[in-house]
Amino acid sequence: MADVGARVAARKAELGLPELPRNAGTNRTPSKRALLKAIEDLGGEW
Amino acid sequence: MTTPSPYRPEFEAALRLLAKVSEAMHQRGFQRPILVGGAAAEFWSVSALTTGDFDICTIRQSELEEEMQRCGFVRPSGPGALVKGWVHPDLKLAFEVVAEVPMDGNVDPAHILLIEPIGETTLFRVICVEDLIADRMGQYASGSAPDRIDQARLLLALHADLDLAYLDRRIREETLGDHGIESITD
Repeated sequence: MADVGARVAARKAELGLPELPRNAGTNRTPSKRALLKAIEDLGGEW
Repeated sequence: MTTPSPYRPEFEAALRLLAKVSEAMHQRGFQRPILVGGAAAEFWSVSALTTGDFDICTIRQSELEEEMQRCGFVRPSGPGALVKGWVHPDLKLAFEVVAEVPMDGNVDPAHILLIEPIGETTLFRVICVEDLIADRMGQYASGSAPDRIDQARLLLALHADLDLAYLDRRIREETLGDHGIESITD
């Protein structure tokens, strides 16, 4: 994991790429939406 | 002097937890679960894309959930009776078993990778970046997630050492022949 992180971080810097966009979230199941709300209720972020 | 990790600390902690649960499964004689979806995207994008929602594949769901409970996961309380996943109150994240095998079994097992998290000696499994890109393209091609092609393009740009023949084949499989690697390199 450390190797992947170092390699990709260097690649990001080399290319000057923007951050990846977040998922639009328009295709989630009711179960998934409820789970994400549970994370929010705990004070977390998804 | 130690170089700071490019990953989010909470994401690293989550992967250490996944590795711990995976090791427990391995010790019981079961295969380690496989990380897919948005958390795999965070892993391969090195936290450029973030998530607190970990999608996992295993054919041993009940045994995995036993191990998750031993590691502090609980079912969310309240009105979310439909919730299939589990939350970890301390880490404020969720794990959910979404399938028995990744991508309807179309992933080449040799391309599933064993990873050692930062600060941990046990291992977890994750789909490779080629399969992740193909997954993003499949969702894009279905029309349900038009933004996923941007993720696919950026993941491709971030990894210069991909197996391009495998990537092209997997994109064509996941998009039912509508797209190949040229769709994200043009």
